[in-house]
Amino acid sequence: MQRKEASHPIPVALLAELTYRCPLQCPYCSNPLELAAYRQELETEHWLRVIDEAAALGILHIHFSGGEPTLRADLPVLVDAARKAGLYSNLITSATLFNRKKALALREAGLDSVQISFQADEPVLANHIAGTQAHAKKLEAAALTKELGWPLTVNVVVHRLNIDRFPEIIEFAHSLGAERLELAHTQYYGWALRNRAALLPSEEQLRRADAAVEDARARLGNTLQILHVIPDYYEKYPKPCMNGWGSTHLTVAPTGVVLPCPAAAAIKTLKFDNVRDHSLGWIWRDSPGFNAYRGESWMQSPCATCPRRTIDFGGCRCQAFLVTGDAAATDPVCHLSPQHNLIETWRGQANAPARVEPDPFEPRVATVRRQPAPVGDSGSR
Amino acid sequence: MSFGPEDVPSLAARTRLRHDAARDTDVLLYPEGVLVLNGSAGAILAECDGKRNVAEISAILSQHFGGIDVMADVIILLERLETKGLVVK
Repeated sequence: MQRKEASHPIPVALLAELTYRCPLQCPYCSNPLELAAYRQELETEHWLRVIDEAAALGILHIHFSGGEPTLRADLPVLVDAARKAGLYSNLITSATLFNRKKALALREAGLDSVQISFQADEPVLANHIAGTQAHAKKLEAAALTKELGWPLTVNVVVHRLNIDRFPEIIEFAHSLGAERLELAHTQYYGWALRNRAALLPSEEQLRRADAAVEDARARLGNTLQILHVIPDYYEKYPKPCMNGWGSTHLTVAPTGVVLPCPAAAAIKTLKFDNVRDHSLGWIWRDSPGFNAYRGESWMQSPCATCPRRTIDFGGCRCQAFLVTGDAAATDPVCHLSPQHNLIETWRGQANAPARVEPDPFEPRVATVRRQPAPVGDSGSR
Repeated sequence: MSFGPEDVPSLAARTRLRHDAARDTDVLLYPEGVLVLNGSAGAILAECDGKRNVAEISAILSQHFGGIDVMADVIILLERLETKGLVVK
């Protein structure tokens, strides 16, 4: 029997960013700074084609995200198409617009699971971070999710302002009946990079947070699965970003641009293709953007000869570009990176004993009021 | 927890078992995760309908594999998935 060799990896997950519109203004938003450039959203028929092409490529999971995906009136139609294509569908929502009528339509369409973001466990801090009165509505949405029988993931983006409430946040997620809790520290791209000084926690805060997670795991066992992702600025080696460029994951942005990672639009030296012009299969297999950092031939020193290059793939291309200006550089988070001193400087600022709290942050807004700090700037204060 | 011959296993409600043509294998999908199953694992889980017990499932599988006793393998798989919350009894 002839064995068919796959010349390209088979992707596992598609992040469908239906819109970047969102009622919240979180200062760590992973959406691009140039929100206004994404108003020409794909039509329903584009998305239906993308869903069918994704299933044919071997994609198993589809995450409907944004922005706020429930702002799209065609969401139930897209969920229905995903279900018919065999994809496992997940709704990633801020949940402030998640009412019973919408929920019933999504259940009818066959939505498999729901992830609701919370900014904190208590309303004053949560609403401060979200920039709007969102917390009470999220509580209703979480109850509705459980009532309708969906598995619930609670996602809390962690940063300097909420990290000291880990015990309360874990108890909160448990009390909502969540099966999974993602305590995902801010990673510094987009809005979070701009607000880094206000968001990056201290080492002592991280240590206490980690202890709270260990304590909760011992207490709660299997009843609540806790995923704790620490900020990579505090790692010795970079994260194996996306399991390698163009290896398992596709993101389709609201305009139809297809990215190997949700943050990759920040890499201005690469051109990414659009599902309006090409099939998803061609973009995955053959487009220059997806092939730019596959394999190892693009690597520079010290990655090129590093024994860890098959473990972390040189780290994150987006972070390399944002910090060093070169997307093929070693991720500066790595202690072997020639530019690692920048990360150490920023970490030092987060741990400065004379630090005055709280730092102001800039909420995510559709109109950018000023230019972001230049690359490499440590941020004046 | 361990499974005995009389226990009736079923897949957790949040999972979905299906064949994947691109990988030519069965997969078990669940929130934020997937198990790519080898041939016999997929066949075992396909029989976990919430009605048959472990002994009955093992007997069905045994027929697929030329009459050899597979109950120990069935139990190992079920216990592994139970710790992940993907199988319940």
